Amino acid sequence: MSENELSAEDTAFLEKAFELAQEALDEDEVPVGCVFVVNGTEIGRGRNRVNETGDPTRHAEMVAVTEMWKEHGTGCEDLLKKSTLYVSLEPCIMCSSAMYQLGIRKMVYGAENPRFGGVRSVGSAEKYRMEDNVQIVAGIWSERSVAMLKTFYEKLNPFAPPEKRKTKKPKLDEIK
Amino acid sequence: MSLEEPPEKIRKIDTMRIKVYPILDSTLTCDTIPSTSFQALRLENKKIIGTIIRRLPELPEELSHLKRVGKDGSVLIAESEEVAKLIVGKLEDAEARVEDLVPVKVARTKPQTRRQFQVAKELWPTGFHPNHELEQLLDGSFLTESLKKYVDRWLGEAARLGDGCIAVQNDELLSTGRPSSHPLGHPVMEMVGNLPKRHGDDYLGTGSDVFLITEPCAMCSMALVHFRVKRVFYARNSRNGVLKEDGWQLHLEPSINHHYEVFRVEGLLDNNYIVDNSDRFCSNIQL
Repeated sequence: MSENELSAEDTAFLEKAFELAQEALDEDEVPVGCVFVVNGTEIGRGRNRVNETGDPTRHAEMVAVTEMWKEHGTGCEDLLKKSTLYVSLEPCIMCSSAMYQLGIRKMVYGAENPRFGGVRSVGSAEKYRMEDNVQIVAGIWSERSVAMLKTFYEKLNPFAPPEKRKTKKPKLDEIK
Repeated sequence: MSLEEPPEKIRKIDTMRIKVYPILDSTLTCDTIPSTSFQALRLENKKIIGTIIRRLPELPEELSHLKRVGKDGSVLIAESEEVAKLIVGKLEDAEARVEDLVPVKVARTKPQTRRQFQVAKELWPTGFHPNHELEQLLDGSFLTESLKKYVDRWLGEAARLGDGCIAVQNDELLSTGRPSSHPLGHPVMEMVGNLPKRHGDDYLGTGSDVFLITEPCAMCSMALVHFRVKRVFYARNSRNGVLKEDGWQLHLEPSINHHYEVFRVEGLLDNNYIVDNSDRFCSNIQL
């Protein structure tokens, strides 16, 4: 997918998502930010707040949905069904599954996430036993997205950059 | 919250009735093992076995579970006939003849369970290092009376919440959750959200056990990964659950960097424990 396929509107909202990711990075959170948009209007936004809240599920997308729910009550469900999500990194399995369940219209995201990515990398709608009815625009501004993650991990733990971390364990360890 | 124990009499019956099944990788529950053909050299003179082995190249790493010598004293040479003939020819030993090469069946992968080991060693002598925890899961001996009581108690509490979720850490209640009006207010998400604020750098749920009435969807199952849960017990399969055997199983996905054990508990829901059945999440259609 190339940048050329993005409209000026797409570019502006994705830029907003990246700014929120930068805000997360400045607060020592995993640098991911997102914006929900309906018909060219922002209806919600969020950025990672896991450290701040001590809640490991407070990813950008979840934070945004909760804010929308607080503002609109259950009415946010109808809004979400019409929405496009702009997010700086491929949503994890938890957030992707949430998006399929909320039935949003479209997702535009930055780098793919080979460890947790829930749209295509590791998980998928089919694996979640959900209908695959969300339009996907993937891999936009990947380098920028990855550079932010790298800065975060270097800041956090200079001894274990993400690309050096062990992601696969031997089978026998998995059931222990 | 108050956690009153049900009367002792009812408890006894319930505890006897529940069954707890681990949901394991099919490569572990499978009693067969893939085999492959290998060239072995028959030796009339058993005294030269040692000398011959010392002059042979090592077996490939992926077949290092195989013993070099078979029950009848023949020696593994190579996988392909062509290579085996070359190797035996190079030995230039009058007692090691190319004509004495025979194809044998060997286990292609290292046996992971005792059952698989029994099958493998029938083919060809094979090394095996038992994993005792795994063997207990496979033969059912993991389910001690105290574990049964523990599961019965906490899953019973989850049932009393309706379509509930309960996290237990070091035998103490950590948090509870039940469906809410939040568009993603599934029991697991509510349980995590209801936790008191974390202190220190540890993941709050590290090492905890989670009890659920309904098999969690992908969102909830992944939230439990983020929560660093150790074991998950649930009572009924759901349509979009991702832990049961048929289909993608999140807890067995190798790319994910944390894995928890999963158990399905049967026999608990027969006794009308569930009061609120109006759940709209983790679609709880019994399969």
